[in-house]
Amino acid sequence: MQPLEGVELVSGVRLEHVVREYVMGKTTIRAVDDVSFSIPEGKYTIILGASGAGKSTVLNILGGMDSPTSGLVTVNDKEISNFNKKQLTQYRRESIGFVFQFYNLMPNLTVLENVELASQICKNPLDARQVLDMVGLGDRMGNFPAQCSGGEQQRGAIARALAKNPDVLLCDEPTGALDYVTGKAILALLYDLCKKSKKTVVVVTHNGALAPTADVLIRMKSGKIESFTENPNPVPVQELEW
Amino acid sequence: MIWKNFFRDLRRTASRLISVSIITMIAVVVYTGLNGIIYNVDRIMGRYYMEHNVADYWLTGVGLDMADCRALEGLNGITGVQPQILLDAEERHNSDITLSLCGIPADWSINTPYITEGRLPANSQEIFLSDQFAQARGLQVGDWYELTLTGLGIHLRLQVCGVGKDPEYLYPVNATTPSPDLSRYGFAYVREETLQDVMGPHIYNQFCITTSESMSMAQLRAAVDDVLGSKVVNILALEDNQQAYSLMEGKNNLVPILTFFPTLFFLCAVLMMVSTMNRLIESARSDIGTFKALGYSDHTILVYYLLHALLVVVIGFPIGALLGKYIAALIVWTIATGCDLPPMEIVHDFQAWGQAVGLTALCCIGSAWLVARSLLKESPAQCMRPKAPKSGGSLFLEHIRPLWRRLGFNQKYILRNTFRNKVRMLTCVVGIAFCMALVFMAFAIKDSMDAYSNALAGNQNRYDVMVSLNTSVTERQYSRLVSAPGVTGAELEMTTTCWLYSSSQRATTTLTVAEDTVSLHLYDPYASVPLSLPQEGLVLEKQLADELGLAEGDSVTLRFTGENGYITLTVAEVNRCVSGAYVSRSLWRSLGRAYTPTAAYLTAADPVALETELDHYDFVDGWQSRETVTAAVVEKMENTSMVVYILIVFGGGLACIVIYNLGIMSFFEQLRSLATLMVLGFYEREIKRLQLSENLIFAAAGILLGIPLGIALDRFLILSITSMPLEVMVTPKAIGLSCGVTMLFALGVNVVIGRKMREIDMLGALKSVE
Repeated sequence: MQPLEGVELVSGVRLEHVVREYVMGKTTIRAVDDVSFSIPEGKYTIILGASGAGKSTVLNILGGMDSPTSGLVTVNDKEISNFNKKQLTQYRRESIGFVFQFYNLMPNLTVLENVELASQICKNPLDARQVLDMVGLGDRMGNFPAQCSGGEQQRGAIARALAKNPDVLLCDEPTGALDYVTGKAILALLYDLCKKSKKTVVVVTHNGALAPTADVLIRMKSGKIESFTENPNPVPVQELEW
Repeated sequence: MIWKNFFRDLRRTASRLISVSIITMIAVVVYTGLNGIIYNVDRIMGRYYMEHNVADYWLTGVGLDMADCRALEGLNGITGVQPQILLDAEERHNSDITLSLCGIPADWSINTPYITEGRLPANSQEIFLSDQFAQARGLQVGDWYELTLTGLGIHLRLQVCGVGKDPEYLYPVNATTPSPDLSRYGFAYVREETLQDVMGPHIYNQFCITTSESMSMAQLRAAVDDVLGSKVVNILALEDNQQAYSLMEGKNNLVPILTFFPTLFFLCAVLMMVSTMNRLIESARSDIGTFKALGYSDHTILVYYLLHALLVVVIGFPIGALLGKYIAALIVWTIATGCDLPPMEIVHDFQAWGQAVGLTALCCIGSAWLVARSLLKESPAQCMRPKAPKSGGSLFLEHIRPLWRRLGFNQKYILRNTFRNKVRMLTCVVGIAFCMALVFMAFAIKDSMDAYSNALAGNQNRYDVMVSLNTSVTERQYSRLVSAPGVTGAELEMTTTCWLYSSSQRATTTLTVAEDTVSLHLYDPYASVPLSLPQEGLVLEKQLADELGLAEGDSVTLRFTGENGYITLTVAEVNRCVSGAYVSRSLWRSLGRAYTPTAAYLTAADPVALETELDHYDFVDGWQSRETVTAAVVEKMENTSMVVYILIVFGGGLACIVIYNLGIMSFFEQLRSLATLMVLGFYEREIKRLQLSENLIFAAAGILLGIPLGIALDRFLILSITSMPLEVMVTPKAIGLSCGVTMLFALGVNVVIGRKMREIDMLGALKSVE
């Protein structure tokens, strides 16, 4: 690893000796164990690992939903590891777009309103309709989540995350609940968005077949970084079969 | 292992289970407590009456002898007759201290006293006294006591042989002591020989009669009328004897409230129990699917979830039932204020326990059983999949485009969230409306009682002094009284008893002959102007009119005890506030009847001087100032108010828990949405505004619905209370207070839920499948 030492990162994501421990009764579980890496801005990054490898914990720390026990986390020059609760909320509000495995759209709002829900609280939001057009949901804006397929719901969730115009888009197993074809389409969408908008996109997955598609590939095992690879020639998702 | 999971599950659902257990507990407290009042008063008084063989009737007459006694004993349905001499007495040299003195025969068997110390009189030199009176007068067994027979000038010096209490004088009041004061008015028993100089040997003025249960009052009156004829002055039933029946009457006055409120409390609790168990089990559908998939039998899974419901019963019921006894005790002691009772014990009403446990078990376990069974019918795969969401639809408001467009995003969000889940909305609104209605009713009843109390104390009695007149008062005497020095206004009133006959029914009642225009003692306490009695007929009490099947304009026939003539009059007015029947003095005179007033209501420039003046009139039996009369009335009403205060507290408590329960259920149901908002970067205050507005909208809707519901229930209850002519009072104060209390609870619950929001685990809430 970890082209970190001596590198002066102006923008992007940087983790330094990050540790996250959970205390459960008398047992202390170290979910993330001294992890350090940096991702330059605008890179499509995949964090790969088996269940329990600590990849989601890293993503949650990056997303300001969890704080490290020790270590430093810097996102676009902001050191978020020492943020208090309110600062973390502001960070999530303005800098982060999050896509979940199970979409988590508000059931009582239409797809358009779900996107507006996020965009209305940001400083520089994108136009909700345009974003929905961009993800291919231009004709489903007035539908409620229950009236959409899984793939459409996940597109809605991506649109909601994008509409905030975040610095970093974090995706936790975004295709975990989708079939092969739909999953592939969603990953292609994320990759295209990354390239077109120059946003940093971090995707967490346990699917090793996706590794060739990443600009930056981080493999994790037992809470540690197993390998860190920069790929100058990523394979487009459409060309992959798994 | 499934049971290990059960206990872990309990921790997860603890707050909801505890809140529904508290609701159950409150319903059980109110149910067992209020039913316990009826049970305990009936039990205490039933036992007291039975152990001391209390009379069913007191027959007052003139020149009654042993032949009359034996004649009555021979009548079918009469099980016992005891002759006695009843006289008024006063402490020698202190006429302020009065006694009811009773001369009893040697074979005393009816109205026997509870002996605290000593024994009953064995000879004509002994006296048995009320223990509290004796204590107040500093008398002990063995002491000598001197008294004077009122109006007769006969002095007696007797030795105290025993002290105790008597069910006949449970609530010792008389014409001059309207509320019990055993330091001023008591009772005493002597042997009849002690008083034989007054009436002659074996001549009596009262018979105490016991009857079989099958004998009605009308049958007894008819039979006595036949046997004793004009010797009878009055027959008083136990139910009409204020001194002996006060506690039972106090309880009877409350019966509509005591039966109606627990039912309402239970209905409200049932609604909550059913909805909570429903939502609790429905939220565990994936767990049920998992159990089924793992191969656990339907029976085991059913028991698993029924145990949750059983736990609610096991926690809520015993605490409620145990506390119920103390509520019963508090209210029984309150309504027994002034009653001279032997030591009594308040016990648990196990019948009410049985009913309450049956109802709670039925509601909790029954609803859990229904929901769990319907889930068990589904295949494991179906259960493990999230329930198919309802297809999204637009709100009615969205179709009103101009309005919908004007709403901000947050308002649209709140409205959508509020109205999309109709079951949750209905449960919340109906639950809050019920609580609001309960709180409103309690305040409204309090207002009605206060209005009645104020009408009695401040409006009905406008005299300064009420004078009780001797039954043989002459026209010259009462004319002297009304023109006595210092009297500025006077009205006379005569009361007698008579039979009333309609075409199909008959009843006895008190007939009051009042002045043509009554202004000093209004028969309708709510009247704002002097009342003119109708010249063409009588005013009849509503309850009595209903009993006789009479309405305004009907004819009613009157017959007076000991007379054979009949008088037919028209029912000119049916009034809920009068007691018995009222006729005007002119009408009475026009019937050719003798007018012998029994009371005079006087106003005076100097009431104290007038009271001194009254000492000079030997036809005056006693007098009371307006303050004394109204203080007694207010005291009795305050005792009844205590029940209402307790209901207000419990109604409020139930409302608080119900609103908390509804809020917390909604909170758990929306946990995922809340977590999503947090992840999106909404600030705490923004999330609260979005999510908690829903609770306030439900509270507002519940309050709005609760007002008409409360008014309707209050009207129903007030009109079902026949013992007091309460008026339905819907005051802005009651509405404002109940709205305020309910909204305060809703805001309080929002504060609690707002705090709970801080504990939300964003990642945990969003990780699983919806």
